[in-house]
Amino acid sequence: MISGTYVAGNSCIHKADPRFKFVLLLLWVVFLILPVRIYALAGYYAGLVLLISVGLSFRQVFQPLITIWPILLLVALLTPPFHQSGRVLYQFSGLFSFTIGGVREAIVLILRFSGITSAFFLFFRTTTIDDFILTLRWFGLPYSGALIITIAFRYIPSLLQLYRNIQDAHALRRPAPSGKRRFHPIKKFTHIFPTLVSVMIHSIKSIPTLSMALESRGFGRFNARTSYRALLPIKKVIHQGAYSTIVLFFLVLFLFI
Amino acid sequence: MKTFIQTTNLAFTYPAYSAAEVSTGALFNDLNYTVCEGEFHTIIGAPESGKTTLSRILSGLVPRYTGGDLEGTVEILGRDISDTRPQDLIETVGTIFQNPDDQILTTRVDSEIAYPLESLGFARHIIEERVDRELLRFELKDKADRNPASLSGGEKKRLLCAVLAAIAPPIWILDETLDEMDPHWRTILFEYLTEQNSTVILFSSKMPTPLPLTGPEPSVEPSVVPAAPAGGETPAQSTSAGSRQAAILSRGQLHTDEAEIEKIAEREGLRWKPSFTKDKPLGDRTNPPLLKAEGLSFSYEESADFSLQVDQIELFAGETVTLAGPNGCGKTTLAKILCGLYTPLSGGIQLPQVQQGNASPELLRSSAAYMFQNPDYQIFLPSIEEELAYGLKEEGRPHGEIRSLVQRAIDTFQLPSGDTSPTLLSYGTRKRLQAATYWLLQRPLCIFDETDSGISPKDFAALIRAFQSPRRTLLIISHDAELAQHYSDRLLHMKNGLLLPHTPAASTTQEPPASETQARGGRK
Repeated sequence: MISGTYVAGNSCIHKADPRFKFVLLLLWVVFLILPVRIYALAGYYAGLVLLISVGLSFRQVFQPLITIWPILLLVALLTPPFHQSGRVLYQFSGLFSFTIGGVREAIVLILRFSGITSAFFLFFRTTTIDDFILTLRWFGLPYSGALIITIAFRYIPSLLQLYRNIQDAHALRRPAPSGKRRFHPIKKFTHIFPTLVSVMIHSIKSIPTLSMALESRGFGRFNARTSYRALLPIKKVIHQGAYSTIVLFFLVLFLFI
Repeated sequence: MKTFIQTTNLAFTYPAYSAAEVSTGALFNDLNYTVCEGEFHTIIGAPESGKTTLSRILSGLVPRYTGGDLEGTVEILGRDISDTRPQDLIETVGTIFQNPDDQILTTRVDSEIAYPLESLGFARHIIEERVDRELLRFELKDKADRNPASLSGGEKKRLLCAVLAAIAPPIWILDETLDEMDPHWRTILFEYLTEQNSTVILFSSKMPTPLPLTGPEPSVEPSVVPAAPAGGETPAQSTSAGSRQAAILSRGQLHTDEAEIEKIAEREGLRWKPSFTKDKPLGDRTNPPLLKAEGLSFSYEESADFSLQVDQIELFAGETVTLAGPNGCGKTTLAKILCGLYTPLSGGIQLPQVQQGNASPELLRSSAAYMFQNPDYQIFLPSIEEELAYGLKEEGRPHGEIRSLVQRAIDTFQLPSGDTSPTLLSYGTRKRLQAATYWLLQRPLCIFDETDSGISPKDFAALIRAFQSPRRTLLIISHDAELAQHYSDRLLHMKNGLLLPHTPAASTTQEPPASETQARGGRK
């Protein structure tokens, strides 16, 4: 979600009505969770790759995967030893083995994680937070609930920016690379802690300031609140419902693969 | 004339915290101050003198969120603010915080302007009309759907001005709002406030240079604004609408006498002075440059309306260079490319230690110090000593050497004892700590990105002096013409992502002639 903050664009996915996009997002996630065959999962993921390529760019397909690579790596390494069905592919000194069934299970989990992350990434990259909140309110979420989400989402990009700034500030204090450039996963991992501590200190310090900012913008007044932005009447975007139904048809079709 | 703001015997003390470096004694004592309709007040004060606290007391935000003891009364338009919630004051008093990131609530520029209007319950067509009007006035129309987080510091301040202009409160409280805003936008803001006959209190940590206002009055004209009982006539009340007043906040008191303002400003180093600068130039341009960049181009994925194109830039050891230009022109972007935080789309940067080809981002990062405007980005360890030692440990220096270097940094930058917790330090001291961490690392290129914001000229001068060396280049990003004049050997000017031809520091002007920009093709 952090990497999937909105970036303005003119693609058909940017222009699509957020209500239809939201419903499709939820359905897509449900289909990814269903106990379907590996080919169907691959199809759902391929569909997302196609949509990301159309709505953003092909390079963006890898963006959500970069953010969850440690999870994907752990899944790839730790899942096969716990699923020993099928032909043995490799045996580790008699302790455990990699089997066809184990590898298949790892691929299923990787497709699910990648698919769910990519679906949320595509939704939030092409939908403004304001439109998302209006969508939630259209579906009946009360204003107070929507405000909590607004503030939380407002802080996702803000925290992202803060994280990047702090990361940069820390990177500048490190020494010059000596000799060949090597990838040190442990060193990279330990460098995360100072950054996270700084982000945490900042976030805690900003609590009273955020309250001040909210009240100095009139939050908590007794009068009824109005809204600047509004979604189009549903009858004006009904044609998008037809497109969404076509997408839904393909999602269902993959269930039978 | 009507009294708009009146403080009577105001005293304020923050809650006591024994571990804090800063004394928690009374911040103000018997503060009596009156602001009348249409007046423009400038309150100058050194960092930690209580400017932000006073601005927030006048907005009803302190002590509501901070705790502390407030004595005396504060009246806004005859209404005691201790009985009023801040959200019920927004049509009367508008405040702009020192750090714009603290005040931005939404993820779109237009929504940010609309937010308080929605709170006030205006009809949609009125909100649309006002949002459009302010987007146009503050030239943010093309950024209406952008995330405010992606704007430059000055653009964020413009956005916050647009938010207030949409509500149009009669009283504006501006906490260091001029910092980061370029002179063109300062002028537009002042013209707007004058046109609206707004009552303004501007807080600043520097004695202002003549403000870019038209009209017969000088920019800073100190005058006596004695306290008066509520509703009573005072000499200040007999001044004409739009008159300008100045005061200086020092040791819990506001001083309004001109001679006293000058005396205190001198004592606390609140005015840029040539004596702060080095004795002789250190720059030597006969040697090869310390850094040379050619054919740099860069653009942001999330901002299609900006691109940076720099044909060539050379920085020489020993020189101090000021990088100036309007808000959003790409100063910070260029600085971040030069220190390896951003990778250019084309072109490269050469360093003397790389015989052939361009320097890698890692090498650039380890050759540069970048003084972030917010010192807290770098502070994460529990004590000053550990904070200073962090970079040296990463370099693998011996323990004994680290200890002696840390002690030297503590002495040079006048920091408290090494076991003090950095999070409890004052803002100015945290800035010194941030500078000390880089000073220890002895980086050849030091970038000060609007580091003068929020600290006094005297403190900034001390930082610069500590860093100046014949082996180092200092690159200062600032909108302050006086700073550039006093400190720079050279001025680089940017506009619309382009680096304009070299201008000598002596002829510093913040806006280059239009022909210079046109000659280079203007905006990409």
